[in-house]
Amino acid sequence: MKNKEQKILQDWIDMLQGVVVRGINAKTRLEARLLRNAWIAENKKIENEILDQDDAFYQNVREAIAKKEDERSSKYLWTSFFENKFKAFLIVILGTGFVYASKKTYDGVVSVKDELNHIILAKETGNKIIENETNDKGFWGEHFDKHGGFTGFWSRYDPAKDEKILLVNVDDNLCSFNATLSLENCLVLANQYNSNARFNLGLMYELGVNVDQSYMQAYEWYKKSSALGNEDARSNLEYLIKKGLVY
Amino acid sequence: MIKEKLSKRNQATEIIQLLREGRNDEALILFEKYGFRKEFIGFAMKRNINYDDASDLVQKFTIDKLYMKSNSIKNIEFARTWMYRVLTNMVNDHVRISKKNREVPFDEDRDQSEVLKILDKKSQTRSGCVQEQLAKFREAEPKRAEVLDYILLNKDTEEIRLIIGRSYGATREYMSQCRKKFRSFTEICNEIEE
Repeated sequence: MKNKEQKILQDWIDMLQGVVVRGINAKTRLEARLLRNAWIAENKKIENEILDQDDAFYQNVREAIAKKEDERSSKYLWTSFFENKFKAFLIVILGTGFVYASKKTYDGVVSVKDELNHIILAKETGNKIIENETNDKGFWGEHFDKHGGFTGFWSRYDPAKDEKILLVNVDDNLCSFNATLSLENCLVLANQYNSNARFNLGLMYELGVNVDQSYMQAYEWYKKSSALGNEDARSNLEYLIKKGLVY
Repeated sequence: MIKEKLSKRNQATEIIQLLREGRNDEALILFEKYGFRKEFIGFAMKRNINYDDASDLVQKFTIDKLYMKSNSIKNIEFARTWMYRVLTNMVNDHVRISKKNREVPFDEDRDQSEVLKILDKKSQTRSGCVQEQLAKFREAEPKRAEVLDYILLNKDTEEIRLIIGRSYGATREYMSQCRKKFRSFTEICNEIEE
């Protein structure tokens, strides 16, 4: 039954398409013939309305295509990169790799810190050295924090600059590695928000230089120093915690 | 017949290939030579779109779709099928928008003399009756009428399947339904003798 229906349908389609079919049902033949004739008559009617030669049509098309081509050529530089998915993927991978590599090169010690970093050298507290340190910050140090977070180009936070202003009235290295590292002198500077003096105080307490050794006191001074942006103080602080010297 | 079908397909493929190579002028010459402009405008006009609008529509199709998207056709052998599918969507959109913007209701706008002519069966021939019923069928069942057009434009089932987006079996079934539906429209013409 289904095959019969399919045959009738195929015959009907063939008749509509102008194929000569034999053995077709007379009713179906008539149906198809009438429909085909009606369709051809309709087509003729419509064709009479359509212009034989429409120059305006092609003129408009040509103008529009020329315009689009101009636009496309100007955008081509950018779009050509992303037309090919493989190219785009490669660009993204290479770009990410470059950013990661440049970051690693700059602060390799800080960011790749699998081993504990413990600094046991006291710092200079004079103006001169701090200036040198600030000049050496570089792009990443200026705009990215230790963990790679973007601090923004507009960030007003600049510990080195603040320290410089505060240290204008400081006479000299009263609390440096080449001075005596006395508690009094260091406390004077530490109270003037000198991060290096605070670091030195932490180191004195940690190692027991000229004071009674106390990891808790060392921890406090490292914390205060790192609050002013001293990276070495922070790493020593982490050292104390990870070694289990403070609780 | 098969040769004719293949040549129609190849013509569309040739145009797309020229466009891809950037030979726009040659492609446009062939577009006219192979009669695509007339064919497409006629196709749009069958949906009650006037000549100017149909011409604009085909112009838009040529620029925005044919020229801009020629690179996105996956199977270039079925370029003509792709053209019809895109054009059908554009025509459908146009009809929908124009119906929405129409101030006068569709039935009231129709010329009453034509309606009277249809009712007066004795004064016309059977083929004339079928012709009018075809116009009615287009209004009532636009999608089925489109499939009739595709059949009459010598497209095979595979091409129609790709245009309407159905499986092969479902397309055959749909074509069968079109035939039966159209037959119900032409039943009143059976009473007229040739």
